[in-house]
Amino acid sequence: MKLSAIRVHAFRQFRSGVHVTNLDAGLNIFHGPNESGKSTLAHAIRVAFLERHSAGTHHDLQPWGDSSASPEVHIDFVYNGRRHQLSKQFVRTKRCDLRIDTQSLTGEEAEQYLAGMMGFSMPARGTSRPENWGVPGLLWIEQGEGHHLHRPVEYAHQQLQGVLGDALGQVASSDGDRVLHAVQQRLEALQTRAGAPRGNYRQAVQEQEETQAQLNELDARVQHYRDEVDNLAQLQARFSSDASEQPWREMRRQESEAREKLAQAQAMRDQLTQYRSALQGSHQTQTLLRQQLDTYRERKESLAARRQALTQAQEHAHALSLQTPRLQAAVHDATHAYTQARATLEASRRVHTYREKQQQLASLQTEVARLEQQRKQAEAVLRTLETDQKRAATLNVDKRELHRLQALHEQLQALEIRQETIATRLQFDLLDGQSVELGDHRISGQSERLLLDATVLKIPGVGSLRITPGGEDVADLARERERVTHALQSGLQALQAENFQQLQQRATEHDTLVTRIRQHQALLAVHAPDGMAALERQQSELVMRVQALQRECADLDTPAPESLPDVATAQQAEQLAERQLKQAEAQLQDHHVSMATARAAVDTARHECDVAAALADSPDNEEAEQNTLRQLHDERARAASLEHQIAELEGSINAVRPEMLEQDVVRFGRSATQIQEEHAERERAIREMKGRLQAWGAQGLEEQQRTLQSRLAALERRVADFARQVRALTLLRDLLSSRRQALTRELHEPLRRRMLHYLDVLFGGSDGALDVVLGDGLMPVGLTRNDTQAALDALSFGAREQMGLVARLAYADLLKEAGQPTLIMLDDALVHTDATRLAHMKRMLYDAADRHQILLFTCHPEKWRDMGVTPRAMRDLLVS
Amino acid sequence: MASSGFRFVHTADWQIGRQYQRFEPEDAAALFEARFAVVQRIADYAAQHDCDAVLVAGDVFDAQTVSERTVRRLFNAMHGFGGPWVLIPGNHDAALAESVWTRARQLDVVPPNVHLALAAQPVLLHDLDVAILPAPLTQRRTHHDLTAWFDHAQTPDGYMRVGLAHGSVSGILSDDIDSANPLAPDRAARARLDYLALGDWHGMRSIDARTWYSGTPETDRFRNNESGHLLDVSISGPGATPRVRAVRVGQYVWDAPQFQLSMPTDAEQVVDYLQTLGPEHVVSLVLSGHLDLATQRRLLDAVAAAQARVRALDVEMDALALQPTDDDIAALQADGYVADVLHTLRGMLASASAQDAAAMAQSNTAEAVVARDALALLAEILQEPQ
Repeated sequence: MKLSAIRVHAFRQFRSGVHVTNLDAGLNIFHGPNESGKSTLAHAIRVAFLERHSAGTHHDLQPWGDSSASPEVHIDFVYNGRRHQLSKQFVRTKRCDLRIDTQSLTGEEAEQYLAGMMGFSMPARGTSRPENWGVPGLLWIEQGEGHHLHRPVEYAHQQLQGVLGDALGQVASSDGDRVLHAVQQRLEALQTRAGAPRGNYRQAVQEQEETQAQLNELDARVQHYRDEVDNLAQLQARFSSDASEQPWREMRRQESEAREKLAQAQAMRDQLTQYRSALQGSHQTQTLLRQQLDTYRERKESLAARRQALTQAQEHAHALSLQTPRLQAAVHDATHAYTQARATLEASRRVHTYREKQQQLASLQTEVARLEQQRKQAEAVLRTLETDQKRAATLNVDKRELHRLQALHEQLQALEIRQETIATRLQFDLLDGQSVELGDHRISGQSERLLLDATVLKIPGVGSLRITPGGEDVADLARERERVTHALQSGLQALQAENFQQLQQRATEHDTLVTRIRQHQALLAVHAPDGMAALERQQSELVMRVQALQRECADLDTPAPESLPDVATAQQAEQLAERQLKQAEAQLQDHHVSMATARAAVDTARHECDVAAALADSPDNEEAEQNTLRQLHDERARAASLEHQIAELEGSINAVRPEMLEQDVVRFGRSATQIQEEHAERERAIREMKGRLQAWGAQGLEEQQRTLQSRLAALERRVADFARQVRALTLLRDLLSSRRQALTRELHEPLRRRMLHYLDVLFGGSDGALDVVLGDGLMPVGLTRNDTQAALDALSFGAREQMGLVARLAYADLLKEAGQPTLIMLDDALVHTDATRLAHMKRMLYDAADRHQILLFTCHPEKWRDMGVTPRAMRDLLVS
Repeated sequence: MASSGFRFVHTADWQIGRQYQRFEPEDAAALFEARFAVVQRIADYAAQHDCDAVLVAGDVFDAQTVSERTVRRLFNAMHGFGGPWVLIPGNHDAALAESVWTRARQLDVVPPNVHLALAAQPVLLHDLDVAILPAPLTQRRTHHDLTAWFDHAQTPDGYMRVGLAHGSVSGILSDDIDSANPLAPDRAARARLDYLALGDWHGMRSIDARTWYSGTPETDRFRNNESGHLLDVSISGPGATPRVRAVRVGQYVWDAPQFQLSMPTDAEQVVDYLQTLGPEHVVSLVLSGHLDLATQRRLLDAVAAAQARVRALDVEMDALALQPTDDDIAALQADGYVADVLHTLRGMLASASAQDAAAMAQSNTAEAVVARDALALLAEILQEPQ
């Protein structure tokens, strides 16, 4: 099918029209910018073929605002060597004319003819939908739809299938898919995809399992029931066996037999107990009797002992009494010795005292003498001393007074000297017997006087002369001398000294005396340190002592000193004698005590002896003892008899073994009771078990079991039938599918080869195997490249678009081979293809254009310059 | 009356409560019911023919713990005959410590004219001058002869001695019988019995003139053994040889024929046989050999028709090989890959037919069986209206 010319009028933007003429049998490229009418042209071609001219829905085809327009499309094409001219008008004037060479078709007839020829369908009414488009829908790619392959292929499937089926010579089954579908349906009714039972089959399996479980449970119950019945039979057998044999009676018999024997043994035991207690009584009696006898014997023995004790005591007392004189003599001797020793000692002492006193006396006398002398000396000294002291006392001048007086004296001397020097010297020589009174003094003889103050010299029958020393000094001196002399004289006077020389002399003498007093005092201190009185007292004491001593000595005997030991010896002897005396006396004293003790012992012994004798020597005692002896004898005999009897009884008792008998009684008794209880228990258990079994039996277990078994068997048959069906269906399905698959592969082979042809161009130079996987409906679903398989849907947009073109070209090839018309339109295709791939695509298109007419619309004419054709600009096609 | 001899019904192995797993529930239920019905017919027969007594030689019940209803229904079924019934337990209903008998007594459903001989002691029918010597089973299985005591059993003078026992006569019956309970073959003679009524063997059989198995009155298995009868026994007096007459009372006829198919006419025989079957039939049909698809279809149609008619029909055809002919295949009008599959299946069947048919029957999972089923299915689908 080759278009040669297209004319479009009053169609959308083509108000005045577009004329395309001289179309190439191969590739035709139309270019122009956006809105230049490329798509409108493509659309006009689609509308011309696919749309009903009579449809009232094509107002959109009118130019904008021109509702009176009748859009029209005229297409001239050649198919199978015949020239076709298609003219279609829409909306206002609805026409469809198709001239085929000389043949002319109009209206729907023409449209149906075209649909059949080109492999699409006309819509029943209205606008054509993609489902109607068929082969054109696949080969005429609208802008931006190149990657959508699935739906177009689906809508073209019938045509493609027809073409391919025809190509394969109708190998496929006429109703194979129906059979396969039926098989699959039946199988799916019975099992899931995973192969698990489903529906009735599943229900049957479940019922079978449930029934099996119920049956298992019931089987167990039936088995249990049967076991219980067997148990019951055993119980009943034992029960009736026991009921008839009554085994407990034998036990009871044995029990009472043992009990009897035990009673006998018990009687013997009682007897034995009596005998034993009698024997014990006898032993006790014997003991008492023996004790009695012992008492008698002890009394006798006691008496004898007492007597012996008395004798001994008496002997002892006697022996002691024999010692008395000796001890008394010893005391006597000792006393005498002691007296003598005392006397000797006294004597010795006296002698000693005498001698001592003698010596004392001598010594005292010496002392007295010495003291006497001393006293005499002392007295002499004392006398002197006293004299001296008296004298000294008289002579004693106070030193300070002395010195004062001395000073006064010296002052006076000085004054006298000065007075004498200056004083009126009155020298006189008076006739003997004559005296004159000078002043208050009478002067006589020859002498001189120094007059220091006015003195009246009265010369008897001559009258009085008054002499007054010249000048004041003399008077002062005289007054000084007077005062000093007065002071001195008063001093001296106080001291009872006539003058100072005297006083001085007296002082000197006093000093001498004092010295001598001191000497004498020292001497006296030697002779009478404590004073004379003491000395005299001492002396008088001594004298008294001497006198006393003399008296004592006079009083003392003067024994012969030769026969006497010295005092120490005598004292020793005396002490010895005293000790011996005391010893002797102590011995005697002890002896007396012993004697008293012995006598008391004798008394006691005698008393005890009397008491014992009173007990032992009773005449009744003997008889009682005899009686006791007899009784003891009898008791012994009785005990021996008892012992014999006891031994016999014990033998008998041991022979019957009562403890065993007791155990027998218990054992048989218990056994009987136990057997009876068991019997009763068994009866009870039988009752219970019967009740239980009746209850179970009433459930009709085995009938149920059998019902269930029947049901299970039926279910098993049903399940087996299902299983058989499933197996048969599975086999059928597998066979049918595998055959169908193989067939499909065969069917797909030409298409696959065509696709590979283009793919080889597209991926030229690729390494590894290149393959395409075709699915149902001839749809490519997978692409194997470089040994990697990828789902078509997973490819990139660009790759999907390329694959879309590859597939379409392949379909076109097949259609062409089958003699179908092919026209390929690409509106702005491959815009997402990279340069390298685009180059491959161009080769593909160029190759395809060798077989098919291709109309390519693009807004990138520069990309298509290397296709060997001149692209037509849309603007050049417009009718002016 | 006594002087006129003793006429009684000898029956056994009623197996009341028996169920049939191999049949579909509906058929099994009918067979279950039939066992009560046959007891009714026995009672009716005894009444109508003036029998003096009915002796039942064990296995009255099929199991110990049947439902109360079943127990009641049995004794109800016996109402038709008012004379003495003497029943002994068999191995299925042994007089155990607790048994169907104790339950029957507990339910108080045993009429006074029914003697349950649960112990080995004579049952004296004084009106008849007859002493029944029973050998009841008191265990499920015994290994000694329970009739031994008959030899020394004292019975009143002038009384006929009739033994009633359940077990297998030693050395005479084959081993595949119900129980191991052995019976001495000469017991009747040794114990001076006028008659020894035996049960356990489901077919009717005479051991000697005085010793009989009555068989079960209602057939319950396919073994062809003259079951489905009662024995009408008449003894004119002590020591007289009994007159024994078998009377058919069973409702159902059990049949288990086998057909070997190799030609289309063989199948016609089967179809003919199936056409003879009526509602009284219980059939287990075993087919072997091979047939083509068309024949198979015909045969299956005949089976379906018979199944609608008979009581129970069980067809075993695992050992029957399907060998479609070219005509068969052509008739299916298969083309394309379906025809391909059809040929594959046919090939599988052909190779299987070459193998041992018996081995093929061993397991219905065998490839050939699956292939046959698959082929049948495919044919069915192809022939379905489109």
